[in-house]
Amino acid sequence: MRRLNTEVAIVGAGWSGFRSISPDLSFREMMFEAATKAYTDAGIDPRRDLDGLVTAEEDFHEGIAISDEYVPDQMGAVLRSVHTIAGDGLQALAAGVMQIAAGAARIVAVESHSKASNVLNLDQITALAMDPVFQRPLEVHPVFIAGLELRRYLEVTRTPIEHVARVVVKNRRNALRNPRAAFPADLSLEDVLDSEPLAEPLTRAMAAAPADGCVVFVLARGDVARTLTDRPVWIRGLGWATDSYTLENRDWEGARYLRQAAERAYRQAGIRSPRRAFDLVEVDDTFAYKELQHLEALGLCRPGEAGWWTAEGATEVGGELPVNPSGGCLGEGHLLDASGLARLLEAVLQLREEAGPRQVPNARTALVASWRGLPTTTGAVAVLSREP
Amino acid sequence: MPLKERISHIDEVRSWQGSIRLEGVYTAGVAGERWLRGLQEGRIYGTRCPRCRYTYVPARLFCERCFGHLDEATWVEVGPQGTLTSWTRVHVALDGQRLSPPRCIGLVRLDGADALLVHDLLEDGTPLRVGLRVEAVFRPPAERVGSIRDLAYFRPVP
Repeated sequence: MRRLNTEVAIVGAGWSGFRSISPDLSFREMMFEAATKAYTDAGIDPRRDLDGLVTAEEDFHEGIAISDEYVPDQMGAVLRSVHTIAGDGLQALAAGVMQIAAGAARIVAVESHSKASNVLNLDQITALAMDPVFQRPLEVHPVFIAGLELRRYLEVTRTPIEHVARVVVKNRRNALRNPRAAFPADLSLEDVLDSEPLAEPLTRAMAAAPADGCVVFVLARGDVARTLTDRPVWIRGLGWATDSYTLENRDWEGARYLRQAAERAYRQAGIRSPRRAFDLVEVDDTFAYKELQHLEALGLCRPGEAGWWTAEGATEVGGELPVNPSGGCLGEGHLLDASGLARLLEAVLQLREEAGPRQVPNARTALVASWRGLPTTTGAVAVLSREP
Repeated sequence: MPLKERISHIDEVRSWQGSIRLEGVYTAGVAGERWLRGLQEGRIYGTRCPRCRYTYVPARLFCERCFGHLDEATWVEVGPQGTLTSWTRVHVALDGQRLSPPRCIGLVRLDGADALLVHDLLEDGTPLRVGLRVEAVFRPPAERVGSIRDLAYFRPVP
């Protein structure tokens, strides 16, 4: 993929949540709230201006078969083109960008949400994503994959487990300055290392807890974007990739899916030295080690370097390259299919200088990277900039 | 906007609980069927792609690397010994309850294979480490049904 044929910008952002539970709202009302904010932010009337809607969701998370039919009403998208992606929200962003780049739409809304607190057996639903013939009969909690991968990562990169714990401390502290975050906390390394084991050496504190929330963006073609706002956030590059889904043949060490996705996005954005290209990074940290593994896969540091880099404070707000100033999934809560859009939301607010007390000074470019979560091998990358 | 209209009394919150019943059969396929029959006989097979020089376990009919067909001639026996590539103790059950004692799971590269097989790992007091030599232990023949569970577990090679 070369440079996009058409300029596409994010001209509006809205959200609902994020909270550990939300018994006061249905998922439709959460979407309505987030969409209303996003359309107000973009200064559009969806019934007049919206050409299409792209959502990312998973039937089993919704508890409704063919749940993608349940999205247009509360988004102002009845009788518009509606397209649902079974994947992470960043893949829905990509689909929205493609609709505009293809000339099929001028203004598109992108949405994803999580009502994780409504799912009474989330672990079992994740387990249903395991291979039904070769793994499901073992009846093991799928977090074993994270345990195996973490140990492999530590072994291959010679990273001390304390550096993984450091990611948790940093991200949940960052979340203290983020009003959207469901799980802000001031933890010590010992709190993280001594929390109950999930799948050794992974502890409970190293795994992001699910949260409820919804994120909506409004995308517009370049010329339209310029008429709508004086602070568009431009999408300069996009990539996504899926590794072998098998546990047997996937890459257990380097998050190959994200390396591939990043290469595509960088090529599109014309980035040759990623380490010097960004003012901040929002990256998937569903499990603390994933932040380190993903930073390396993104080419921001060499394999085995991310832990040391983190320990030196380089990834703190105020460091060489702030990583997850929002608090990441660990601090904000894991929004299931919307977790990539939660990362994107922080990047957009940062580039608009609307991130309040956690603002990275003079942020002009940002990198966003997502992972579709256990047991998948799918990742997506977006390169954002204040300049087209 | 629902912002002002949120339900503020917890006893006013109504929800309906439901469950989804999903039943199906999962066809193992040509290669899967033969592979599982192999387990029933106490043998672990793989298919070796001659172009990529990569051996798949469980055996597959196709190579994901070159998209080639893996025919009869590509079937090879692997294991039963192998090397531990990673391991974990899982402390949580599928229903979210704590699992005590924890369940030990290994990631094993069987001798002759490139793929990594996941299965239970018996803890016999041998200190676990990456690189440990392990071997497959099958259930007694009468208990085997042609399932991944015919392979009972891996254990450290004595």
